Amino acid sequence: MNIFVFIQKDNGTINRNSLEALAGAQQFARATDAQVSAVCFGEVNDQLTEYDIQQVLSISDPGLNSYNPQLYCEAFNQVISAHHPDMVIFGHTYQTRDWVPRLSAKLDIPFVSDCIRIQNQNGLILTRQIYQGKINTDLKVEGSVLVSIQSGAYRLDSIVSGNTSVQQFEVNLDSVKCTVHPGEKFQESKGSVDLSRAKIIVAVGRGIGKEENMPIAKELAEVLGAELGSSRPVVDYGWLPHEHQVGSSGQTVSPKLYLALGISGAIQHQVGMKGSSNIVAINKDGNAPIFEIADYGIVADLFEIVPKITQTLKDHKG
Amino acid sequence: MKINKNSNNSQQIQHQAIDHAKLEGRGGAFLVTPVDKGKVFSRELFCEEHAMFREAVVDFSKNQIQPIKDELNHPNEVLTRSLIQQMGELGFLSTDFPESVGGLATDKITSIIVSESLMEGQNASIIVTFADHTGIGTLPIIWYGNEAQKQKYLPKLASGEWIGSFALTEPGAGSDALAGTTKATLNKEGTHYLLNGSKIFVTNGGWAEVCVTFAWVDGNKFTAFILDKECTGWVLGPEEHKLGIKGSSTCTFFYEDCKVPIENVIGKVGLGSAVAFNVLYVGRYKLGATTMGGAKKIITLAHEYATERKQFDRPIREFGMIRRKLAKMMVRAWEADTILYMTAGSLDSVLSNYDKESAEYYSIVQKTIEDHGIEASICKIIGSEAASDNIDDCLQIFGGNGFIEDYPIATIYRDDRINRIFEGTNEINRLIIGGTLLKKSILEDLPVREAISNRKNHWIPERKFSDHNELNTLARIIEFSRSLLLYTLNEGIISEGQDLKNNEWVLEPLANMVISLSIMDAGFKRSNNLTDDADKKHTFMNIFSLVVHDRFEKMVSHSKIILSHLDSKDNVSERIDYLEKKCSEIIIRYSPIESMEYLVKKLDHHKKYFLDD
Amino acid sequence: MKICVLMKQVPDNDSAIILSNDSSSIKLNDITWCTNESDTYALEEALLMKEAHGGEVVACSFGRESSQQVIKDALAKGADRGLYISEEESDGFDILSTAKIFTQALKDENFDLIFSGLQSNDSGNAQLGLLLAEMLNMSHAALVMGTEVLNDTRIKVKQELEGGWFQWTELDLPASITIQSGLNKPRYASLRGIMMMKKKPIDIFDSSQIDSTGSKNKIFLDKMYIPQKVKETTFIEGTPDEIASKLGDLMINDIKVF
Repeated sequence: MNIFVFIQKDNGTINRNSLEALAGAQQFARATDAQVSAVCFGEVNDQLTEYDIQQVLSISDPGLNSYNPQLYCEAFNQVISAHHPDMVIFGHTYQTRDWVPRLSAKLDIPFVSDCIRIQNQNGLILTRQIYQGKINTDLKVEGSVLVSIQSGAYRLDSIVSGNTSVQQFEVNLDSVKCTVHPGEKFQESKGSVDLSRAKIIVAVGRGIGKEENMPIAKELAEVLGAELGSSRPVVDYGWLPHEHQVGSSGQTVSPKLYLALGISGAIQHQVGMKGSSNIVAINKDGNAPIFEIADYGIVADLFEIVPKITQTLKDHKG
Repeated sequence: MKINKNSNNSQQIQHQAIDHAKLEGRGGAFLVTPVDKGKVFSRELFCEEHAMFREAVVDFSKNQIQPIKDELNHPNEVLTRSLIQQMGELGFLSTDFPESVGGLATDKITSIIVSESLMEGQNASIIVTFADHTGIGTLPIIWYGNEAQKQKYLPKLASGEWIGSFALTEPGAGSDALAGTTKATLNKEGTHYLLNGSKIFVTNGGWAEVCVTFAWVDGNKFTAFILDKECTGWVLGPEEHKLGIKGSSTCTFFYEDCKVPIENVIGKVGLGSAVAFNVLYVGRYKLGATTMGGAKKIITLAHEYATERKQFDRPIREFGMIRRKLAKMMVRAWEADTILYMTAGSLDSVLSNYDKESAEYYSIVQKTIEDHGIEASICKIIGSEAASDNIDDCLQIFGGNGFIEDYPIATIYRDDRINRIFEGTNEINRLIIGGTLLKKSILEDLPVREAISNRKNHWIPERKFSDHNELNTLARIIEFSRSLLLYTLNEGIISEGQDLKNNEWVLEPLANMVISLSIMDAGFKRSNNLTDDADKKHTFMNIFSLVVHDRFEKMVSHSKIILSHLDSKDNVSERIDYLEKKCSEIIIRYSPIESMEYLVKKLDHHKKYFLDD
Repeated sequence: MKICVLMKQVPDNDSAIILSNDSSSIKLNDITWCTNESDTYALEEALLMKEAHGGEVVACSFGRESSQQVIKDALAKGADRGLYISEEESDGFDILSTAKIFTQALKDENFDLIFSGLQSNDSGNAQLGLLLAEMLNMSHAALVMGTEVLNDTRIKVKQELEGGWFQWTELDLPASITIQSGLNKPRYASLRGIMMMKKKPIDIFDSSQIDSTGSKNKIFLDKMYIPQKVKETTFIEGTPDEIASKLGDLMINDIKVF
């Protein structure tokens, strides 16, 4: 079995999710005797040649220097037509979410997105979360397949080192008539908050109820010397600026303590914080998915509990 | 009433045919229509639009009202206006407005759906503002206003740009509304009336741009006027400090030569009492709708607390006394729901026959609603009493915490208290039920005389009422109850004659009997509207069995109060003896604990009043 | 602009998702259905665009009979027309074959724009609108947070990227874009809108009329199951005071927050 892994690069550095996907591919390959190759647009980072993979396919074309979904699709189309891999694995990133479905339609090869596991059980089994993480589904595939891997599904430190060679692959993108014209990237506000370095994060979710209740969380954060984080709805409602958002559309964090106040814990949020060393969740709903990944759970009204905790900590500090 | 006492002994009573088809859509028809005749409307018959209306209002209330429900407990004109205007944009204010002024002119069922569903927002103050605005604040103009008045006031009242109000009560004129002393004098030019006097407890008073008010012209012609901000001399008094609904505005108005153009007279001079009382009828049944919504909503809170609160290592909802309370809350909410939609459906069954844009439409609306005076009062009583009983039970479930302001129930408890007082106290409404019943009987507006005569010897007609065994048993109890009411009424009329209508000692239990019968009757007829869903039918049977047996016992005890009073006046005991004998003939077997447990188990699953879906 | 909005009926967030006995599907009886959240934002964006630039908004849904409700809700909010692709077993189609069915239903409509929610809250593929872009030869953009019409042949969209970054992308028409939640404020259905709904047409497209050879599934369900808990959660219980003191102790002495 031939597996290709697409290595996405952001400003020259390899996207973390791509490497996690590579780790997943290696793991699967070991169990099945499959071959793993990496596919990379543009210059190959040295880092890539130090992994235990069969080869790195490097595709250099001026059209691929910056992201354009239609050129990416065509380039990959030519790779697949030439090499016929059985499975192509992508990191489930915002970029691959934009172009890989188009590739799937172009090739008429199914795309199984956002998988949390690739394994072999008398054949390939792909596991996805459905119903917002309430149910898992195992899928079988007929023929070749495109797969993307959820962030955090495989550990970076499980990548196996080795030696590999770089092969150049030529593509011709002249035939593509681009109708998508990406412009410059920008940030809404200069993010002064770098949650990824925070030791302690007090994160608020929809359960905080309204903007006027925010001080309850802010006071706790203050006494702990913590940064404030949030789930998506809190940012959508405008109660906190976007740079506080944790999760798939915000920052990925791994503090020593993550205190989730009134956060139900949809997958999109979990993806951004499940790497935290200690997760404490306070939520009224005992069935909230946040308790699936919390180390400590408190099923209660946060308005009753949080001010008391703030007081306890204040008292301790004297 | 031609039946005299002696006919009790008559062996030959002609059965008098009652044309039940003719009674459809008539107010009070339930008194004489057996369970196997006649239909009622219930939410099971909602059309697709009704269901979508409900979804729309629930969606709005949950997302726009509920999140700010605590702020709305303090007077906040800006916030309230913004919500009222949003409701205006979405059409919630204009269900009863004619299309010619941008209204929706929906059926009455829709009005009830909107009022009920706004309770999903869990704030009573905004509901009071809404209800006053759409009810008594604007209906006088819709029904009695001329075209110019409609065009001038209704579009802005429909959009919520203007807020409406209704000023009738005076310091000396509460329930006795016509005892007011506000005077209106025509100025020399004959262009304006000058109003002098004061009005109290005006809901929306502090915010309203428009007010429908009342004054005596020439000392003997009670007349309705529209006030607007161009009327000089309309002086606003201070806000009242109220026990509850503190986020709504309640003010005193002073009229100091308040200058009202003659074209602002509603209808014509002297028509004031018709305007006031007919409009109050509607205010009444709509209040039934909002309180019914509240009676349902509070169950969620009670159940949630009973689940969270642990004592003796168990959630208190597992204890029988708590479960009985929860079951009774379900029953009361269901009763109110049944009565409200039965009434709205009956009104619509008449009104749907007329062209809404025709000149006489609104006079037909008035007549139809006036005809449903008994039902409107029952709606008000049942809705407000279901709400207050449920809220009281909920507070009891909260225990000591219920008495602490930090918990939500304390505010709800205070907010609710007004519901049994305004829009006609529940006492006045019972008086109306008793009085209207007597009037409809004596004037033979309804075939009550025939019904009394038909039921004289056979309290339960000998026939099968339903193919469903259990329903058939319940039908027999209901028909017995109907006969019991007719017998009690007849004895009252015979013994007291015209004096009965002034004897509140008797009218109150009599009104209570009418209320109970109406619920049992509508409940049974509602069973015809059920789908084939076996689970829903089973739930229905459990709740309806509780309703019938409880209401039956209440009816017997109320009847005893009346009959023993009549007996002791006549120094006999024959009526009570007769009742005892009749009661011994009917067999009552049911298991209330099992039925209640069944309902509360379902409630444990759904965690809210679950009979709406 | 002639805009199609793809809308899906999904279980609402509070519905309990319970597996069927053979673990091949979920039990449908206790589910409350609603319109997929991001699809409501897509509809709002389409309605705003129509209000500003004229045109038509067509709400399209694929699925069991009850799916027509999402179309009706859209019509009540202001969409002009419905397109319902009837298929009782819609859950049985993989996303690629689903897209082929949509292609058949939409190809003759020549939409300028197709809007869809970013992803569905049930199957969460996040692909349909993008697959259609290729199949119907349209430009595309995923994760759109804002739209702007430049002229009759081009629009500009703001795309969300990771870590708080955004990107403006221009798209030649026709285009298919997937809409992220939160970019606008979806309107409520007005009572008048609901009354008007009845007068608006819903065209019904029976998926069984489609040549099925091209839309055969390539993905097959092996099984569904409840995810196993990865972590052992210690629940802290007691009165609010007890909880506060236990948690304080834990944070100070075990996690060593200070």
